Amino acid sequence: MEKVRLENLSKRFGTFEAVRDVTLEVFEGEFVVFLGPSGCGKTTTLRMIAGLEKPTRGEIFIAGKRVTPLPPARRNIAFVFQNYALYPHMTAFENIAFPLEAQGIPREEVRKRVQEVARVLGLEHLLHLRPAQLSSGDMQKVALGRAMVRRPQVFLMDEPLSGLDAKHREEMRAELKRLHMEIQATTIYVTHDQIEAMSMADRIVVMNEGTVQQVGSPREVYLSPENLFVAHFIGSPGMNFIPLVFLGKNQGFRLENGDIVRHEVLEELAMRHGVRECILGIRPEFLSIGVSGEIRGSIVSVEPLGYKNLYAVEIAPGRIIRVEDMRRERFSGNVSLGVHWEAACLFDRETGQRMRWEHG
Amino acid sequence: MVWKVTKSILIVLALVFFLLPIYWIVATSFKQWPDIFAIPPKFTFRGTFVHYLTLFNIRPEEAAKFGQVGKSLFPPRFLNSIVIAGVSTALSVALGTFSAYAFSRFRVRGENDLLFFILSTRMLPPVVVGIPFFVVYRALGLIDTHIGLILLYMTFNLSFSVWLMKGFIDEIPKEFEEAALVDGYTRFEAFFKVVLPQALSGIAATAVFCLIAAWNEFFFALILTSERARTAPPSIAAIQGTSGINWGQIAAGVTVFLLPVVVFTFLVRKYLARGLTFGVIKR
Repeated sequence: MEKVRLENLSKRFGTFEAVRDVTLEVFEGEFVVFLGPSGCGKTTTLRMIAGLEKPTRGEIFIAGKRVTPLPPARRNIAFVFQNYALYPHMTAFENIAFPLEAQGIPREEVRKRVQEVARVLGLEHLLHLRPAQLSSGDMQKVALGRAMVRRPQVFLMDEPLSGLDAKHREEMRAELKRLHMEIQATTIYVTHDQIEAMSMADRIVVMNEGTVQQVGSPREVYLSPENLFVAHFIGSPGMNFIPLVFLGKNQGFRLENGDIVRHEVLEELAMRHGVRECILGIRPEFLSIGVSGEIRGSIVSVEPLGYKNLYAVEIAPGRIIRVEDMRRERFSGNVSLGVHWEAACLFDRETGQRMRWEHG
Repeated sequence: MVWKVTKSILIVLALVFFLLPIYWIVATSFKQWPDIFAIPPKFTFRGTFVHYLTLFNIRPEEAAKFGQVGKSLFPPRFLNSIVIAGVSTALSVALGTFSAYAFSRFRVRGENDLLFFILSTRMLPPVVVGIPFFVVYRALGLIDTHIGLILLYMTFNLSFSVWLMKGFIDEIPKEFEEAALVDGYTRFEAFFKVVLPQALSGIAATAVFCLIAAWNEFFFALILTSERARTAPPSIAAIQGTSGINWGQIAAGVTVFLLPVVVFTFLVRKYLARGLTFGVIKR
């Protein structure tokens, strides 16, 4: 069932268009992550859903109800802030109880529900402390508790883990995932960290410059990016881009160094789209180092990463691509790269869009 | 080492410089008449409460000895000071806090110009507007009224209060209110439940400054009041009997006059020391 719907949502700050025409549906119980570089409009979109920012255009529906003109208090949502925003003059207990007091819930009931939330989060022994006396991980838990206690329609989280150090972040990631499994609450989560997005999301919404680039499962955005931005932004390092010129069916593609590569299926694809200038997108782990591959190059550097080596290979003057190899031996000098074609994407260089079969 | 000693000496000198006049006044208020004028000054003397007693009309027969005619006017005027300074401080801090909140949180058209205009009201020496104020106040019937001085002091302190409070409120991250808004409160409730408790140290500091300014004000109190609404400063200055200036009673009046500000500052010193809110929002 649909829980949140955004229709042509746009936000302008003066002349700056922060969010442009975002249309999206989030389903009941789903964990959706907005992912993108800073300034891509993901936080602004989240704040508009919360009612903290007024959309310039477009509509927001929560649980089937149009909430666009409503103040945050009447949307029945919970927001977890990047900096926790715990009230410093209140104890952890009072912080968690604060949303319930707004609803005029009897004190005994408030105590029971706060205790219940504290138990789920493992905060029972910290309830009497003020935020300044808590570690940042515990502050984060109190902030989550304050969000959970009112049983909202939707959880909105704005980079909730970015204030934690690497180790705590990992723990809290697992904790968040566990909580989501447990309470099955619809969650919209904003982050610029793709590992967070990949590990927690049911669906990822990749944003850039105020627009949605792609919506899909972590697997989809990783393996079948819609465009060059997504291909490059997702993955570390991102997808390799190799410019190709399509010469015609049965004639293959010409690389920058003049070599010809042949692949019938991709030729068919380029043919259908009628595109001459293409870009081949291939992730580092889908290239292999050998002697009889399709793409010639020479190794310029190696980064050993423990269980694998990450090579930088120059395949044309100034054109360096990255190749992953799991073998123990270190390669150097001239090599020939094999391509796992079934994992390759072909992009139209002009539009930056991936060529798809169904649109051919 | 040398620097340490020099520093200590400088601190002692500064303390002497600032505290000696206060000691002098307090000591004088307890001295017998001849000791007040003794040269070299006496640091040990037999104390007396006579100046305080006459100041508050408890032993009027003693007052006659110093040439005082009729009753001491100090008690009602001291009360005037408390009412006028207190109410004007409360008003300027309240209005200042609300305006500062608006300036800090909302996009106000011409915000910078407005803020500068507010500040500019402090650039004119008050003496310059003394006569215009007198004329306006006479026309409005505000001469020698409590409300007249309250309005005046409130106006003078408001610019200060707005600017100081804006600084404090700017430092309170807006996420707190946003959290409260999401938690189900209106902006007004969010202001009172979340912003105000954190602005207390700022409010205390602002209130101390406004109170001192209103409490000490002499010039306008002198020209705009005569009997009913006259405050303590001009009336202390006018304590004299038929046999000259009654220094003992003046000193007693000044000592009593010092107390409320000292007490108030002590009461709010917990809030003056900031740090209540630090380390809670991660930046």
